Amino acid sequence: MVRRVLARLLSGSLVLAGFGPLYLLAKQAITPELESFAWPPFWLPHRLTAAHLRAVFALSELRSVLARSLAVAALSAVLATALGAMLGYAMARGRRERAAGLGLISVTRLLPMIAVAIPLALALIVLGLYDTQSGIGLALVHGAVALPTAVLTSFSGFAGLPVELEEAAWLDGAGPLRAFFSVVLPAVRPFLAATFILTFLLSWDEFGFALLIQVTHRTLPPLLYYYTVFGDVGPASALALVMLLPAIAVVVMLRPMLGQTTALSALPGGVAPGERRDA
Amino acid sequence: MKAPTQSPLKPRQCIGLPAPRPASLLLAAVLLLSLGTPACRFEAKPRKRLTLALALFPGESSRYRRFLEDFERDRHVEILIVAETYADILYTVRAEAAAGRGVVDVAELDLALLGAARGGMRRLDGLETAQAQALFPPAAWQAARRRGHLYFVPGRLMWQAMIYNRLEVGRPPGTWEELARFARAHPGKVALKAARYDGLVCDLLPFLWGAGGSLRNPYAPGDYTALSFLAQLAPFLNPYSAVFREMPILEAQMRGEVWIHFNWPFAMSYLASKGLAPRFALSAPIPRGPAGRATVLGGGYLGIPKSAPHPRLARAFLRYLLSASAQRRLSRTLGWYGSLAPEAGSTDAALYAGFVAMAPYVRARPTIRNYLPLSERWQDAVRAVLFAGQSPQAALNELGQTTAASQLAPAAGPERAAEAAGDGLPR
Amino acid sequence: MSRSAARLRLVFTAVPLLLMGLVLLVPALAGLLIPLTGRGHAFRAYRAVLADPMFGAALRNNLLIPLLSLGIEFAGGFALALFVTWRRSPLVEIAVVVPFALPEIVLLALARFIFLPRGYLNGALLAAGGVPVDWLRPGSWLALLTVSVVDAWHVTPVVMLILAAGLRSIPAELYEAALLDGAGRLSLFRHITLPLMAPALASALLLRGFDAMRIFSTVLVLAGAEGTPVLSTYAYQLWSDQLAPGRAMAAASLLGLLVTVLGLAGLGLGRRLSRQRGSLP
Repeated sequence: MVRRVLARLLSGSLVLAGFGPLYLLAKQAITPELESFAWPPFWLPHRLTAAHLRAVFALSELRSVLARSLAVAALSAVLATALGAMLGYAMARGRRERAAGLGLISVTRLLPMIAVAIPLALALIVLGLYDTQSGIGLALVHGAVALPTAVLTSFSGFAGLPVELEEAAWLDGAGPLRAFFSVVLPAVRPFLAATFILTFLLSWDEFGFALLIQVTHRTLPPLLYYYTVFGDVGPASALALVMLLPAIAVVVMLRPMLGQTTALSALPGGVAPGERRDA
Repeated sequence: MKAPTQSPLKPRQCIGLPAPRPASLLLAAVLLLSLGTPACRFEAKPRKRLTLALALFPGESSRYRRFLEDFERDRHVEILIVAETYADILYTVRAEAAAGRGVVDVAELDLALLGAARGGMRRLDGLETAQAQALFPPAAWQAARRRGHLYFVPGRLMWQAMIYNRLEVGRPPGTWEELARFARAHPGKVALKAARYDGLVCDLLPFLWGAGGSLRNPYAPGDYTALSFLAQLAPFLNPYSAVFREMPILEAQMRGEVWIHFNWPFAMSYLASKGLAPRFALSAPIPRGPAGRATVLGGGYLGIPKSAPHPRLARAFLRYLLSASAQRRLSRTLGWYGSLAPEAGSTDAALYAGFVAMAPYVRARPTIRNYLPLSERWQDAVRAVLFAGQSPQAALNELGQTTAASQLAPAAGPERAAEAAGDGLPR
Repeated sequence: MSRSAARLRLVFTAVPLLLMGLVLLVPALAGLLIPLTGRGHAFRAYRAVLADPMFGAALRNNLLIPLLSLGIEFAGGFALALFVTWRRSPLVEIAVVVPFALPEIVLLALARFIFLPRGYLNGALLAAGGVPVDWLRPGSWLALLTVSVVDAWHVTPVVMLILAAGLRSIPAELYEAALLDGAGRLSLFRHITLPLMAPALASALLLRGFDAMRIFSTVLVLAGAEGTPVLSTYAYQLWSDQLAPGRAMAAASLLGLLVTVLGLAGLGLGRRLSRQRGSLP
């Protein structure tokens, strides 16, 4: 009896800890800022306003920022998914390729953002890719940053595929490249889709490189940072809600993952395939 | 100005895959948006586009846009404002100079960065007409010149004043003694922008000058007086002063964590836009020191980078900006009262009372090439006194030892006059 | 045929590695070397950084925060994993995953609203009859802890997912056999759960540890670059406030060296450990 009450209590507080902050965010987005500055804080909205949400969409800067964020994320996800599938396939089929891939992935995953971003900013300046309106330089960077994740996800797909599949295609007279496109790739579609979504979200959420490389033509995370530390509580909360939308996709994706290991390796901080076999 | 590169992706290939369904639907919507929006936005552009990189806060850009409407209509141009920090503007300008091509036509810089940025800017000789000259104090024009050439124009001028919570403070402290008494009576309610950046020097200088000290001479007796006063305030300052910059300190004021701090005039329009001024917050003069009052001149200098794509149009814009009527409208729409005071009796007059009262005491930071390292040494010295308990004398001695002689010696030539005017070097 | 397949694999390996090398590795190496090429003494930028007291504080925090953060997220993650496997409730499962699903910057903005001196947490304390606490007071140990908690908050769900997966992979027969032998609940945990989870735990711990050493945005948004300095924010502060790219690159490269050296050593150690464990029957 006591245990059940305790469990209820714990469940309740977990739900509160998970959703409570989101409630506060939503509350700040739809109440006048004076209520957000109040002390002691208001826990319930007293007056409602659509001004912040409207302001976020009316601001000339925001629409282009939103478009840029989406374009950068989409472009970098395509880049990472394509290159990740290439390397993932090579690693699944060749021992030396696997060693080379894992080696470089380990090193690049260890590099701190700031150690890359500052010299990279200087290099992009020279190349004319720094702070461009389209954000193409940032998309390239995000593509490279997301590559380890993409490689590991698609690797899990290719590794589960029997070699006989390609060999049969080769016997039918298809070259390795054609076999790859016509037989191998279609078989790992779900993994590619997962890769695309994950890398898209990586770019959508990425803050550090975006802060240093797109100083004028921003993406959403730095814009939210500036709103937050500038005390623009209302617009910041409204913008945060907009940024949340793709996060719903993550929850939808993560839920079925409770209980299966394969896809976990793809998460940032997840387990690399080399380490997982003995788990 | 080139249109943004169309992303060469074929999203349908990926969307058709058997991904988790709700996620892929969402993604489809997001992708369609991403493809549609930039195209609709950027393709129709019949007019020339002038790009201004200005140090505006998000809420200010829309008001600045309103101010620009006249110029846009008269000239048939479209003006794009990119709002960023002064440091970002400097990097952008440098980046564009290095790349040999750029987007920014007009860049706004803080006084502290003029020395560092001058090399990449076009000369603006001829813009300093008698009419324009009358708008700003001579010290402001002098800081924009070098070797007889003009590289910047003061587009808007700002200086600091004291911002206070009228409900909690009542009568704002007018002297150092009153400020110290208030701080002791209300621990944590007085704050300085004492993060490690040049804004700390802007908070320091009114005290340094108010005691007759000088940034370029760590051995001036006034320096010791000022630092001793700050050391006396230190235990009662808001502890978050160590990370406060312009906006976080203003946020603390908005939340009532801080009752007195020093800031630029935009703080008042910001507070007013949130409904907090004049109800809760007002401005007042910075407290008078033993050697008198002083305040520090801030940013708002505009220059045309060498890489600007439309230099002639940019020049025309600067000429327009330097007319008395444009300045009057700019002041009204944005609440910057640099060149003109608000009308007596208006709401703005009440809001900006402290800034108007400080106008006769405005002084400029030195625009020497090595200003940034000099500023950094002072930041470290003041932070050591405020937060590490170092004695003012020890901090000044260290400052004197580490500051290279080259930074202290006034530069030769015409710059000397400007620097002397800027920082009142006692030598 | 296998020859052309090998050629395909070579191209498929070379192109992605080239991109990663050019975009990530080359700039990092350049950042290491550029500060050496300035005027004056070759090591001037490095020496200036090393002599700066804020660098010392940043280095210390950079080592302490990962330790604290790891401790919190693994203790929390383990507890959550046990709880979620034990009590299967969809609502709780979603609530627990939410912090990871949020974009990092949204989570940090929220954390800021919560931990400000007049934020929601102090408001709740006040309402409960308590006294407000200075959660983020610059330079304080509490601020260090708060930053670590927020850093851990974001990744605890991932740790939980990894550990929950590990828990589910433990065959139920093992427990049943041990229960037949009369083992207690605690000894079940100590002698079956923990050892079987160890490899998953160890590798997750390693990777998360190096992630935590690269902490940047948590400090920048929450505590301010000077409040609880770490090497990343220190370098960013030099770049954006002091306009000193040379020193910024020197500081960033020192962090890069630290993480890479510790990381490669740690990965090697982890691989050896797991191999030893794998050789056990």
